[in-house]
Amino acid sequence: MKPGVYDILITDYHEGLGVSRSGIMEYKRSPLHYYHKYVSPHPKERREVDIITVRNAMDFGNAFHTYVLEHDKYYKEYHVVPKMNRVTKKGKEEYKKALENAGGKYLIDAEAQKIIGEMAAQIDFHPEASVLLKDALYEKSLFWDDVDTGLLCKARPDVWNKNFIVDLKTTANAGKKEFSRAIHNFGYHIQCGMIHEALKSLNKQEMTNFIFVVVEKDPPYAVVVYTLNEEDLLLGVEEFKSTLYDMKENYETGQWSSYQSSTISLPGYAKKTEEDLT
Amino acid sequence: MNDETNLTTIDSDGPSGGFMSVSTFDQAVKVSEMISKSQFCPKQFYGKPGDIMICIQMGQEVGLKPMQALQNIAVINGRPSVWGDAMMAICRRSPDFEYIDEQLDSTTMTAVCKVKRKNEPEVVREFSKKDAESAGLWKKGGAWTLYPGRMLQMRARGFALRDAFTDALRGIISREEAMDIKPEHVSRPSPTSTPAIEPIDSEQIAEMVVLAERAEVSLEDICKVANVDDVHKITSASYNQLRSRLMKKARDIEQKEKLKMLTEGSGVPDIIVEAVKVTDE
Repeated sequence: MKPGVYDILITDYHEGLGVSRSGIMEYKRSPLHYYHKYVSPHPKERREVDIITVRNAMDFGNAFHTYVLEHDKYYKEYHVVPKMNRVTKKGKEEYKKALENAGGKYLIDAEAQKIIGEMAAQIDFHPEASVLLKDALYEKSLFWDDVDTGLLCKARPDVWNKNFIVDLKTTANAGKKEFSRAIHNFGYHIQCGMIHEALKSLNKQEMTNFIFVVVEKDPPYAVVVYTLNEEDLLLGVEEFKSTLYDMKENYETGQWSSYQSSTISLPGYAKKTEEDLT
Repeated sequence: MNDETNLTTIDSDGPSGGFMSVSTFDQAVKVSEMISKSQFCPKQFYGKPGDIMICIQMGQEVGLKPMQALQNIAVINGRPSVWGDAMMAICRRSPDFEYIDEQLDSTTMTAVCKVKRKNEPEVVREFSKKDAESAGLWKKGGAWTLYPGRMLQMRARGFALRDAFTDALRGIISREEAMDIKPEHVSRPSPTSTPAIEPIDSEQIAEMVVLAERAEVSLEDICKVANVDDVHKITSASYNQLRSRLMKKARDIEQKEKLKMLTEGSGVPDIIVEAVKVTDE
């Protein structure tokens, strides 16, 4: 993939080469895990989901993104099917018929579709979220060569506005504390740092405004808008760049280390502090 | 914001003198903001209008002009303090001041300070090498090693002036003394500890006033929530709760403002690199 801004399907983006946020997170687990998943020449596991339900977090999230951000494409890509029990003979026939009618589109469960509609409605009702998602470029795939390491990297901002970037997230709990933890656990700040670097490299743009629009997947489908503070954005850039430096060394040496042998102790929360003892 | 929030007036007739006349909170905020951006602003106050306002207010209480206050008052190890010379100047300005006499016996290494207030007996305070040793100061290094005589003198002066002119100094100590105080360990009160019922201090009031403005809440409303009729009566116990509520509200307002600014004039970005439509090929 040559560096550039691509208008491609999410599946093609995932299959394209380049270090992504998921790749960085896998590398943080251990270089060996990254190698196994992204570098070694074994056949890639391609996930096949028969019918998307709310339980298939990733596919459900993708469907929701398309519904909200690229609504005109939604019914070209997704085919809604009623609830069916594929263990029974009747259910199997219904499924076969649904596949024929879908004509290659993804099948999505009617219940999941209803939830997507209700979540989207809550975004429309939200005064800030609704404005933030308007008039922008949606789901563009960015591929760029990191200027320091030469490694090809990729990122896919949900909403690319000239003044800011919006990341649309679906979650079980959109509370501030919980989402802050999710930012750390899933490296969302690294994702922002990567987009910052991508726009600098591809578009000569210094973007510092990164916004999360977070929607809960259960009623009342609460919506909240969070702005990532600049300090944490820079931390994201730093984590991304330092991981790339380490990764480059692995590529050059061909050595991909696993977990490091060490002494181990209980986590901090399991230990009594001096205060507990008094 | 309540524009009529009273501050102690700093005007040309008062001890502050000069051209600045600040009588309301809003004016004090503006003056403090202006100073905080000025090249003449002392380094430790640069960009800190809140600290400047409190410092000027504190200086005014002891009779220092605004810029004198900024140059002389500092919070060291949690205590407001001034250099020993400024401390003496504050006391000299008192109408009750009669004289000060300082001596250092270099053989015994003992500093003596005599301070006389009108119609009152002379206050005499000593500070010797022995006192410094028992307080663990003599081998402390820094100024105690370089200028031991001066340090003894400042200690004796500090004690004498504070005992004779408690009213003029209003709790301010000498900076030399403040630097020797061990920083207080701030510990979180345990759930069983008695809630603090004492009223908040002037620094906390000033912080609350600034926060109230940021949170767009009037001081009257804050008093209502705290169930008091005057901001000076807010207790330390309710202060922390009020503070965190005000900070949260202020942050929410600031985020809304930021989002508003971002969305005004927002739109599709100009892409230098053209998007490649792989799906259409």
